[in-house]
Amino acid sequence: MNGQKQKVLAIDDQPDNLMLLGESLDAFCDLTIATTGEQGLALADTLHPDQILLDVMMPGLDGDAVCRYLRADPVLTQIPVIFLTALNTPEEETRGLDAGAVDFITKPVNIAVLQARVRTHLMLKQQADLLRRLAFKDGLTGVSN
Amino acid sequence: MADTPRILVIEDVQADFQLLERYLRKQGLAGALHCIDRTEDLERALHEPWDLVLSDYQVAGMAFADTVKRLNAHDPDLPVILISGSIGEAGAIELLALGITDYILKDDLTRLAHSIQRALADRTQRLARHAAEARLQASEALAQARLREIERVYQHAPIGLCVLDRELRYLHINDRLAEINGIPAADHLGRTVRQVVPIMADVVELMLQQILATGEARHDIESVGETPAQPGVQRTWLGQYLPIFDKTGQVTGISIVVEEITRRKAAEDALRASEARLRLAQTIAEIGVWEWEVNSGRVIWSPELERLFNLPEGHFQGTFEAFVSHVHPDDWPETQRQIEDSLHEERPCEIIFRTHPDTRVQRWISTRGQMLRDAEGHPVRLIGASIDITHSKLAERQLLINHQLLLDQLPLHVWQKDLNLNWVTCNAALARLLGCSPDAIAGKSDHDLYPAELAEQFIASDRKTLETGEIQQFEIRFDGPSATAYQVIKAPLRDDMGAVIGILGIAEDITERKAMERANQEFQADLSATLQALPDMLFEIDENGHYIRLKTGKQDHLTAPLEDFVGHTVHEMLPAPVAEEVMAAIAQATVYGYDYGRTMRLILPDGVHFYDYSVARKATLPGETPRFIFLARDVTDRVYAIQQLRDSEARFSAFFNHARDGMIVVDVQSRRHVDANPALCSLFGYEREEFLQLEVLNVHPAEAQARVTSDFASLANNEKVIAERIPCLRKDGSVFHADITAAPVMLNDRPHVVGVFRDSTERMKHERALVQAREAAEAASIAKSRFLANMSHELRTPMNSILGMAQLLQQAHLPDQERIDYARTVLLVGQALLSLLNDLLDIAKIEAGKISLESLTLEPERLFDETRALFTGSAHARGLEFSVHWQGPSRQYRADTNRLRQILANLIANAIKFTEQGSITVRGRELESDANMAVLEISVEDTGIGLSPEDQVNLFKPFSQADDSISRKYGGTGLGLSIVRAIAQAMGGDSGVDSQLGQGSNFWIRVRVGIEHDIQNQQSRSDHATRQCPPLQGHILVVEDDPDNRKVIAAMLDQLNLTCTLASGGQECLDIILAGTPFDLILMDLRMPDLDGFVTTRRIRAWENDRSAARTPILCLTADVMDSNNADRIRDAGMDALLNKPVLLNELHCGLSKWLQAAASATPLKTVLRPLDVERMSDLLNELLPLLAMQKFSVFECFRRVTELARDTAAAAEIAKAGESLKQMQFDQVRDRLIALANEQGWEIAPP
Repeated sequence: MNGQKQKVLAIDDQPDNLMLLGESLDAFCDLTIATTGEQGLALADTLHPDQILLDVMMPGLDGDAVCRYLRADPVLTQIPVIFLTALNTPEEETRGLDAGAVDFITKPVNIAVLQARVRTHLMLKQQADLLRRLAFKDGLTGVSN
Repeated sequence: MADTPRILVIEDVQADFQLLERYLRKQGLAGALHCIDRTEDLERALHEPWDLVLSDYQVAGMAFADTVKRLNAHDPDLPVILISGSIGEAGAIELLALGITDYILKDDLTRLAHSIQRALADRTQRLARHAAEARLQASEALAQARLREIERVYQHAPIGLCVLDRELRYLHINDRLAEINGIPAADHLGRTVRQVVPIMADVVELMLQQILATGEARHDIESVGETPAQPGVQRTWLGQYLPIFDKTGQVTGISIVVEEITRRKAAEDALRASEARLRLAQTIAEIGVWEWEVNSGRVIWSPELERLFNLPEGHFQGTFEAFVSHVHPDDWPETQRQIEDSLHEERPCEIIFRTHPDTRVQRWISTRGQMLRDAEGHPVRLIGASIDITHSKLAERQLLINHQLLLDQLPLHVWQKDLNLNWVTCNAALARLLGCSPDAIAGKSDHDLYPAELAEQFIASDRKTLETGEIQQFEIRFDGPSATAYQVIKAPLRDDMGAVIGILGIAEDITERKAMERANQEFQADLSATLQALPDMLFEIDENGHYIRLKTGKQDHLTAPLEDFVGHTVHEMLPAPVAEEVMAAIAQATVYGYDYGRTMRLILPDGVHFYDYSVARKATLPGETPRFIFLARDVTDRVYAIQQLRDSEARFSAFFNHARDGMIVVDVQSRRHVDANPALCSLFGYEREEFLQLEVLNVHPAEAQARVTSDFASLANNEKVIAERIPCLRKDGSVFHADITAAPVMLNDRPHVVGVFRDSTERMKHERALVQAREAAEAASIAKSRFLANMSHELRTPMNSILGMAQLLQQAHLPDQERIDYARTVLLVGQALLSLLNDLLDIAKIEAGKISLESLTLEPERLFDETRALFTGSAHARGLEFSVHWQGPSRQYRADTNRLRQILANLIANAIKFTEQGSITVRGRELESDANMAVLEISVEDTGIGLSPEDQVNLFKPFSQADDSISRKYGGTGLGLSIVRAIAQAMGGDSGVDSQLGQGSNFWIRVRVGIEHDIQNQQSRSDHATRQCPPLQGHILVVEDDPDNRKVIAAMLDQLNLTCTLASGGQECLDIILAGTPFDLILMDLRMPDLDGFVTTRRIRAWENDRSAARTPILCLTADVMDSNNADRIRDAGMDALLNKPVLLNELHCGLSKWLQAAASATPLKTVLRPLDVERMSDLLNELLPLLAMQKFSVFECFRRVTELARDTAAAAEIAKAGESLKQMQFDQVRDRLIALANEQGWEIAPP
């Protein structure tokens, strides 16, 4: 890590949940919060976060819709999305992963698990970014391949 | 004008007037002189005529200029001469401009006389001129009026009028004529005839030019044509063209008068056509008309009459003699007699005569005449009409000939003799027989025609006929090689009066008939033999049952030898029932001539036999004993077959008539109902007879007819059995569905269909009910599933917070502030979860139909106050106005106040949830009331998102929130409103909503409540959990088996500054009490493992009684809120009140306050405000605001620092409010609040 925290965007309609996420994650990432799907997409556009935590059941644009929208965007599609949901059936999990989520965390969340997963995916993202950079630029000279 | 003018003087100085008067009289000018000096007098004076006014300039009260104006207005021609002593030359000139005639200086009247005379002359002249002008005007007006009159006449004349000038241009034209030309009148003016009517111009112009040249008028010029207004209609006009002369006799123009005569022409044409038709009709009908002038003897014949007499037209000489010469001489006498009769008699004469034989074609003429008479009654003229009746005369003759021909054609001999028995006539057949012509027969006697013997015989019978006047009938026979026989009838011939005038004879050749009779006798013999050969038995029996004859081929069927029968009766020969039957048959045949169809049963040696009996009465001569022929046929085999058939039929009939299903037989080709059973008829509501009049299509509604038709088509092809459900039509027009089974069957060699109908109404109802039940079950299942999914979400969401926060709380080294926040979150979320569970419990109760209502005191005003206190905060937190109004009377009711509070809380919480901005208004009022009961209405009106009509329908049903998405956006289980409705209905009322999508909603409930009469009760009751209770003091024993609960209660009591002792169960409690430790109150759990609350309480009460100790209040704490029986059991056990677990602090506080003493005093805390570090606050805000804008989570940490900084300062409250918004993640609101606060406080913050 180059000293700067990675950016995480949390989208959830329940303030309590956002608080919980914030308190759990704020220590090791730069957390931005959105209370609706629309707001979340707008923030994703400007922020380009390294990870999105996405609640599934929301009024208006729900998690599925937000995720599909992100997947349709050539830039935003790189961002890993972790679904958060109170529905813990295997079908629900499959559905979320189908929509393009990299991971799936059920509520009530275990904070340690949450932190571990978020951290893992952030690391993966960092390495993927590095690989991508290497694919396009010479690592030594910084000149485009 | 009179010689002496009438002068009006305006002067206020009497002396001056007298001077003037004298002067004027001297000059001979004062005919009438009147002096005034006031405006009112002037007005009065002006009622009289004046020739002149002399006025002073300065008259007190009369401004001269006004006076002049007034006078000018009154009469502009009235001269006004100013006589003034004061006015200068310049002023005088000004006044001249004002309209005065002259001015004279008072001190020099020399010019006055002259001036007056000139003015008067001037006035005379002017008046004369006015009069002349007026006359001229009047005359002009008259001329104009006359001109207009003429114009009007011209315009409205019913005939066309126009005037042309010499160039044939239209000068005037009225609308009538313009209409004929087809253009408006105005468009004619100035245009020439050629321009207006180019079609007629060539003809008309020539004529008009002639008129102009010669000055001669042209009259009655007829023209025919169409007009543009009525194309295709021929119209006819009659024109008068008149030259217009000037004074010198020159023709200056032409006046044209056009009259439309289209109708008159048409009428004339019609008349001419009608005359022509009459003449034609007479000709065709060949009616000749004639007239005879009696005195002159002149006779007039119509041409048609001449034709009737074969005369060329006009050749009849016109005299009576000429007429006579044309009549057949034989007919003349009768004709003459008739004509003479007509001279004397009134009735018309009618004559039929032939034309004279000399005429080429002889005719029969029928003529009918009527005599006309003069005043004295002398005959003047005989007028009549004649027609040719030759044809009918010929037809009459033909008829006679035909009659004779008919007689001649008859195969009879017909003749007539007179009273002397001489022949008159005979028909051709007889004449041929007699060998002479019919004409020659007249006058001959029988002796001339027959051999003497025969002649005598005939004459004798003739005589007998004449003597008796009766018809004679006999046969005669001529033997010989060609033997013949005749039947002869002789009848007297009578005239119209009935007198015998001769004999009519008719003879018929009966030779052949005789031969046939013989043949018949032979046939009888054959028949008899045949009968003998028949297998049937033949009996002849008389009416008394005696056997007369028997004929039978097979004797083995007889009960006795054949010969034993004759002479015996049936009673002797046959078993009694059979004999009776035979006699009954005889009786029947006696009346009707025959009887058959009886079957009789005989037991013969070889078994039982059945016989069909047919009986016929035999023709007998009068006086003979009636006899009967019996034919008995052995039908034993058939009877058995029929018996089987009948059994089968009976079975079928029973089946058919008693079946519960309708059965029907239909002819396939005619589709008529052939048979129907009672069940079917009652199914369709018809009588059977009515039903059998109908066709198949009559009993099915229109929509089913195509199917019925196609069914019949397939049945007609003998295809298959049809089973289907089809709508049917009852007699009363109602439609029902029937399951029918139809199969083709051949009856009487015709294709029929047998159908069975079963009313499927009930079955369909059951099917429908089944479907509905299934759908309802599915819907309920879906609703439950959805509800469970919701519940799962709703329960997990708070659990997430609780568990999550609890995990955070476990972290070591947590700052105090954060720990407090986490703990508060856990508490709040836990409470929300609890209320959700309470809702679920309520729903469970509602589903179980168990809502128990308490009867408590309800003070609406207090309830509303509480409501205001409870919800104002949360409404304001969302930026909503919140107001509460009780609009009913200020009194107390009896109702379940807690339930009402629950309803209100539900409705208000909903309203707050679904309203983004605006206001929430709670209203209550009394709708109606009597002595004991009242109906209250409580409504909660919001300005929120509103509801569509469809959503309103489902709103109050359990498990169905208006939309899944709503529950996700706004949370909630969808239970609140169904709880509201259930409670409202349990309270004898209802709930509802008036709403429009986007327009806000008004939820209301109506409940029936009692009216509180018990004043004591009013005062003693106080059950408001939320009201502010005073600080308490006392020592409390807490009995609770659950250590956590014990801890909670102990902490709460500590909060309330109360001391407590803890007991972990009933036994421990008893130990403590029985040890004598006094307590101010006991809090008792109900469910405990060793001794439960009831037992423990009873024992405490018993102990108290034994010791006569003071009764310690015991409050029970229970979670068993569902069990309504608890209330009674609790009271019975001796407990004083009940608190629901988990209990809120202030509920506990208030619950205890009834039983404990208030603390002696309570000193309210006084907060000392700290000064705020403004610079630090500005820095913090400048750090915070961008984080807010970016929605960074670190904003919370930053805000905590802000809160910390602001604690105990003047800004603390406002910052706390911002903190509330921040907790709701309402970043914009937080920003706005903080910026507003900063601006207000003067903190320096960077511009956004």
